[in-house]
Amino acid sequence: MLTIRRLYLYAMSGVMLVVLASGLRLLLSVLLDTLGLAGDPALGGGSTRETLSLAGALVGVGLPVWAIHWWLVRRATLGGDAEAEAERASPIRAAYVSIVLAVTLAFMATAAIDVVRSILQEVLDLRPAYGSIGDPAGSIATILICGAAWGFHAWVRRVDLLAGPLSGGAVLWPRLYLYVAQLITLVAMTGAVSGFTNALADRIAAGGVAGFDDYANYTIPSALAVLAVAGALFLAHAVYTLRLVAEPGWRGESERRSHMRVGYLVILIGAGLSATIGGLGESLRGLLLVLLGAADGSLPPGGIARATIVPLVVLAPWLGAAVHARYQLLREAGRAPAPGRAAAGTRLDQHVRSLVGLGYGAVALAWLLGIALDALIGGDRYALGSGGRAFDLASFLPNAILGLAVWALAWARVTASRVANPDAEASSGIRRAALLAVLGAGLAASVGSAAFILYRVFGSALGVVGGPGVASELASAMGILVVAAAVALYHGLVVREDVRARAHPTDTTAAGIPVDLPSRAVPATPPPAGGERPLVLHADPGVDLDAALAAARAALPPGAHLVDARQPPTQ
Amino acid sequence: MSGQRGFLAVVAGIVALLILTVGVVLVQGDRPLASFGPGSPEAAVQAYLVAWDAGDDRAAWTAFSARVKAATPVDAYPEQAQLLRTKGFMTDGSRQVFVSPAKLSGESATVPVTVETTAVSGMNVNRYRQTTTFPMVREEGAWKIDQLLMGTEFWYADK
Repeated sequence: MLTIRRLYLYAMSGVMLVVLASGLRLLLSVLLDTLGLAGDPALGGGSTRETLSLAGALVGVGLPVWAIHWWLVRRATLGGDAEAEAERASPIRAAYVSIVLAVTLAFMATAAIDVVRSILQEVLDLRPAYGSIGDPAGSIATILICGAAWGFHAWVRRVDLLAGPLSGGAVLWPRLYLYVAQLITLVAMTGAVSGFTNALADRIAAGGVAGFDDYANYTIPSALAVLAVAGALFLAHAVYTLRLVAEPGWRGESERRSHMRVGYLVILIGAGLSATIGGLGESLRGLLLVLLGAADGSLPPGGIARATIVPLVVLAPWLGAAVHARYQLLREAGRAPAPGRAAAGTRLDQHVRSLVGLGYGAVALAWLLGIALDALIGGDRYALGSGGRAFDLASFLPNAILGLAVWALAWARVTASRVANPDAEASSGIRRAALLAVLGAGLAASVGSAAFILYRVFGSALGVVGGPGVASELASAMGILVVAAAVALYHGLVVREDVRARAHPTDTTAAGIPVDLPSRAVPATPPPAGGERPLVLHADPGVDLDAALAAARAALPPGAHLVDARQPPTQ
Repeated sequence: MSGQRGFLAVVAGIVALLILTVGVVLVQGDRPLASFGPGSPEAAVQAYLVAWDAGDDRAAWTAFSARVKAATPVDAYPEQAQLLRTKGFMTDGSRQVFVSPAKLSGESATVPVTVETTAVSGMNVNRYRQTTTFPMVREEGAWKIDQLLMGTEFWYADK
C-alpha cells in the first residue's frame, strides 16, 4: 500500500516538475528577451505576450500541484519514526531523485554548450555563413531553471544521507547516476577532442583559408564548447566520487565495496585500452601506407603528418582515463580489508587487458590470414586496383601486432598467477567468466565461418556460384575459421585444466613438494577424534567393487582408514 | 524546520519570478526596432529586409551589388521572389529578425542576420534561430549586398 502511495506521489511530483520547469524556463526567457539580452530586432517581434501567457498557465498549474505533492512527500520523511525511516531509505525515492538529477543535468549541459559555443563563435570569429544557432535567452533560462532543480534535489539527497546509513536501492540509484554521468561526459569529451582535432587539421591542411568554411566554423567552436562543459561536469563528478571513496564513514565504506564502482573502472580500462590500440593502429597505418607505396589517395588532407599525429591526440584522453582507472582499481582492491579483494582486482585488470588485446589481435590476424589465402588461391578481391591489398595490410597489421602484444603481456601475468596460486585461480569466477567468454566467441565465429565455407563449397559443387569472387569470400572465411578455432581450442584446453584443478586441488608443503589433497573441501573444524563405524559397500552388477573401494580410500582425509573386513588394513 | 523554510523559499521565489516577469513585460512592452547609422551596412540590410517583407521586390533588388544585378535583371527577380515569399511573414508576430554588427574589411563587409522563429503549438513552444551572413561591398559610397538573396536565403540565379 505504501509502495503504491509512494509511486503515485513521486510520479506526480515528477510530471508536475516537468510542467513547472517548462513554464519557469519560458518565463525567464521572456524576461531576458524583454530586458534586451538578444538586442533590438531589425524587423518583426510581438510573440512575447503569447509566450508569457503560456508560461503563466504552466506555472499556474504546475506550481500548486507540484507543491502539494512534494509537501506530502516531505511530510512522510518527518517525525523520525519507522515510517519516516522507510521513506528516507526507499529505493523509489532514490530513483526519483537520481532521475531528476540526470535529466536536469542533461538539459543544463546542452544549454551550456549552446551558450559557450555562441561565445566562442564571436570571440574566435568563427561564425558559419549559414546555419542554425542557439537561442541565448532560452539557453540561459534552461541553465538557471534546470540548475536550480538539480541543486534542490541534490540538497534533498544530502539531507537524506546526513540522517544516517542507507543501503540497497537507496544507494544504488544515486550511484548509477554518478557513474553514468561520468561515463557519458567522458565519451562526450573524447568525441569533442576528436572533432576539434580533425576540424583543426582540415583547416590547417586547407592553408587556414578564412571565409565561409561552415563545417570548420561550426565544428571547432562546438567541439571546444563540448570539451569545456563535459570536461567540467566530468571533473566535478569524478572529484566528488574520489572524495566519497576516501571517506572514513559508512558512505566511503559502501562506495569502496561497491561492485558498480569496480564495473565502472573495468569499463574505463577496457574502453580506454581499446581506443588506445585503435588509435595507435590508425597512426601506424599512415606510416605503413607510405612504406608500402600505397599512400596516394589513401591519406587524409594533411598527409602523413595528419594521419600519424591526429589519432595520437585523439587517443590521449582515453589512455589517461584507462591509466587512472587501473591505478584506482588496483589501489582500492589492495587496500580492501576483505580477503581476496586484492587478488580479484589484479585478476580483473589482467583479464580485461587480455580480452581487449585478444579481440583486436585475433580479428586483425584473421583478416591478414584471409588476405594471404586470397593471394594464394587466386581471389579477385584486389583485382580492381593495386593499392587495395597494401591498404588492407597497412590497416590490419598494426592492430594484429599491438593487439597480440597486449594480449601476450596480460596473458603472461594470468599464467604466472595460475602457476603461483593454482587453486585460487582455477576457482576464480572472474577467470572462469573471461575464459568462457572467449571460448564462446571463438566457437561462434568458428561455426559461423565454417557454415559459410560449406555453403560456398556446396554452391560451387552444384554450379550455383563460382569464380575468383567466391575464392576471395572463402579466403576471408577460412582466415576467420583458423584463428577462431585456434583461440577456442586453446582456451578450451585451459578451461579443462581448471576443471581438473578444481576437482583435485593442489597444495604445496613447506618443502615445496605438491601433495594431493582430498577433492572434498577440508572442513574448517577438525573432525571428532577417534571412533569406528561399520559400513557395507554395495555395488550394482557390472560395477567394480575393488575400484570403488580404492576410490573411496583415495577420498579419505588423513587419519581415516577403510578396513576391508576380509583383508588386512591397507592404510 | 530548515527543510520547511527551504521549501517555502522555493515556492516564494517562483511566485516572485512570475510577478517580476509580468511587471517587466507590461512596463517595458515590446522591444523597439533597432536603428542603425545612415549609410551603414546594417542599415542597408535592414532596408532590404523591410522592402522584401513588404513585397516591394524592385526596392529589394536595388539593395544588391552591380555584379548581382548584372546576373539577375530587375524583371527576373520578382518572378522568382513571388514563388518563395509570403508577404509580411517576417512581421506576422511569430518572427524577429536581428541584424548583428558588421565586420568591416576595407571596401567589403559581412553582416550576420538572424531570424528567430517562435512556433506555438498547443502548450508547446519551440523557438529556433537561423543565421545567414550577408556579404557586402561598397559601391559609390553605398553598401550593397554582394549575393543574390530571397529574403534571408542565399539564391543562385539560373544561367
